[in-house]
Amino acid sequence: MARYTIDEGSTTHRRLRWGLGSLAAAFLVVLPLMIPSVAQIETITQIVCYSVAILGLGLLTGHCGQISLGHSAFVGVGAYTTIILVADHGWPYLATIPVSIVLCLVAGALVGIPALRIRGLYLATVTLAVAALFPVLINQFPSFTGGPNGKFAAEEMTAPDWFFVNPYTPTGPPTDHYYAILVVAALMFLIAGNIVRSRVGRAMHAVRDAPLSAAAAGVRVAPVKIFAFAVSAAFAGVAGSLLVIQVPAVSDARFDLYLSIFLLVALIAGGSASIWGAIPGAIVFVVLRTYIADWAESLDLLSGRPDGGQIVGIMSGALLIAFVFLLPGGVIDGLARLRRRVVEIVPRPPRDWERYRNATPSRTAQPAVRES
Amino acid sequence: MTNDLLSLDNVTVRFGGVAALDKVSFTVRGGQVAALIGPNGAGKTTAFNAISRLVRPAEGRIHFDGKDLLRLDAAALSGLGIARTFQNLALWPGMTVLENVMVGGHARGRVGFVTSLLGRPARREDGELRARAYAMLDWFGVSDVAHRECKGLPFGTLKRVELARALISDPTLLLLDEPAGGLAHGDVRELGELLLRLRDERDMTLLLVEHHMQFVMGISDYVVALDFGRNLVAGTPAELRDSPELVEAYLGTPA
Ligand SMILES: Nc1ncnc2c1ncn2[C@@H]1O[C@H](COP(=O)(O)OP(=O)(O)O)[C@@H](O)[C@H]1O
Repeated sequence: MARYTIDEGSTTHRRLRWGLGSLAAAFLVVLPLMIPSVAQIETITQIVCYSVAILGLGLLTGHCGQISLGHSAFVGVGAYTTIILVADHGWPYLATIPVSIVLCLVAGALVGIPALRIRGLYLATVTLAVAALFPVLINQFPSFTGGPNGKFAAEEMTAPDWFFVNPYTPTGPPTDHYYAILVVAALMFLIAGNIVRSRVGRAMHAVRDAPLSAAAAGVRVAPVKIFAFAVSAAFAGVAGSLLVIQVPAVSDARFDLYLSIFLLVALIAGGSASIWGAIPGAIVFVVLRTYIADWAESLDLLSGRPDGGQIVGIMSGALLIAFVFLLPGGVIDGLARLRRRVVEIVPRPPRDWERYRNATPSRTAQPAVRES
Repeated sequence: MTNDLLSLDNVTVRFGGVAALDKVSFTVRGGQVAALIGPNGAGKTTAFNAISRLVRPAEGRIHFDGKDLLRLDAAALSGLGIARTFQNLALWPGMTVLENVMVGGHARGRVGFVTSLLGRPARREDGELRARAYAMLDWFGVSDVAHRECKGLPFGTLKRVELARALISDPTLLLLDEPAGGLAHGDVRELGELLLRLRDERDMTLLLVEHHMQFVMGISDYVVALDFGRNLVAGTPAELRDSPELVEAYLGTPA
């Protein structure tokens, strides 16, 4: 039993939400200012970037029930869009994001078409092919993409002069990147929250839980699935653009099948039922990819072998299994349970519901069916 | 009222080589409680699924309110005013009871893919739907579980939730697949009263599949009996009560 109970929508509840929200926002704003190390600011920025990709995958997999192993390709499309427009066409970094979104919406919708017919393992296989194809395509058009040499922008994104962070300190530029990326990511979380709570979000949940009865209730299943794929891909594309805003360099190897698998593992570890699971998910992702890889490389056993990726793969596999058994709802679900031990938010009936009493099947307020 | 609201005309449905429905025809008039009866495997559920466009008939035609249903897809029916329940319940376990009922009102919502990205239109639209859904649950006496997930709730509760989901769209035609199935004796009688009230007070037309003979004969205006996927007999309960065909279908031919 919870220690405190709070009515949903009560003044206390609203104040608590505002207070915690502002606290979290303030924390995110001052975070880079409190960290003296460039590397750590960069790690945190990575977490923000990948949280957007995991958020997008969560919309598709967690909320609409469609699996995708192709999201590395969408992240890649976003990243290459930004680097090509910036390096070859002189676009400002942030202006490339809408282009990434449009391209990924289209690509995602196309990849979603097979999902109208197949699901589960078959869908995983088809989307896996997309992930496998992407690096090949990059290397097919080297004049455009830089091929195996990768592609770089001569200048990285800089903040305008009026911005409060001094760009001439070592931590200045990464801090600028962090803020720009944070603002975009916050917007993406806002949009994801809106979708999930709307009529469309409910339709996605119904399609996830039982597509046939969704259709019988009036949900058009095919457009909902295509929408989920398109939007999910667009989120991944934005994440790709953000990664390039942080480090203006891309190469084909960054967007391979491994990335897709890590995103999926991170989604499950973070928890896919709530959009906020993307944050612990991204932390898991970056820790696995950065720290464990570094640690593996520094091990004597593996010294001289350049690729720590193998051990990271094994560890993420083990992690996945551990989560499925120990914490199937992911970190965010674990946190929610902990929270419920302390405060229970008691849901209230919707406002003004009594007004619709007369609109119910009969005016006699008498239940027709008793418990059997 | 004597208008034909729903009509099936020589509808045939095949699964592989087996004809689950073989040239079945019947009509349901507006404002009636009609029932489909027949032994197990007679094709009743298949007829429901054909009407709700979940299986595709090989032949025949289905009209609702002058519209050719076979030209429409399953998702269009809710907007036309057709709602249904399922024999084994078809709720969404991972959503709350309230959300389940709200999805029943999906066809009337207007927030689309683009407007869903903004928060405000959905909040405005959902306010009323949520309140109506809650009022509906309250009327069925299950509003105490409105915020719980369906997963794990008792069958009797879920049965009412499913009925609430069907009713929230304010249908003209309500298809009920074994509404009395799994209910205790007293509940069955109250369910019957509810269905009659829907007919009388809300001008709803009901078509039910039901095994509970006494229940069917007690509330139906018109009964269609199927056997082996074919029309057997049809008529008012009084006309069918002593039908030798019906007795034979249920009890088998005396050897
Ligand atoms: N999806 C299906 N695939 C194959 N056969 C089916 C399917 N649905 C129903 N049938 C068959 O069609 C016949 C009619 O079934 P049904 O409509 O469920 O009968 P009832 O509802 O009257 O018990 C049965 O022989 C059943 O085995």
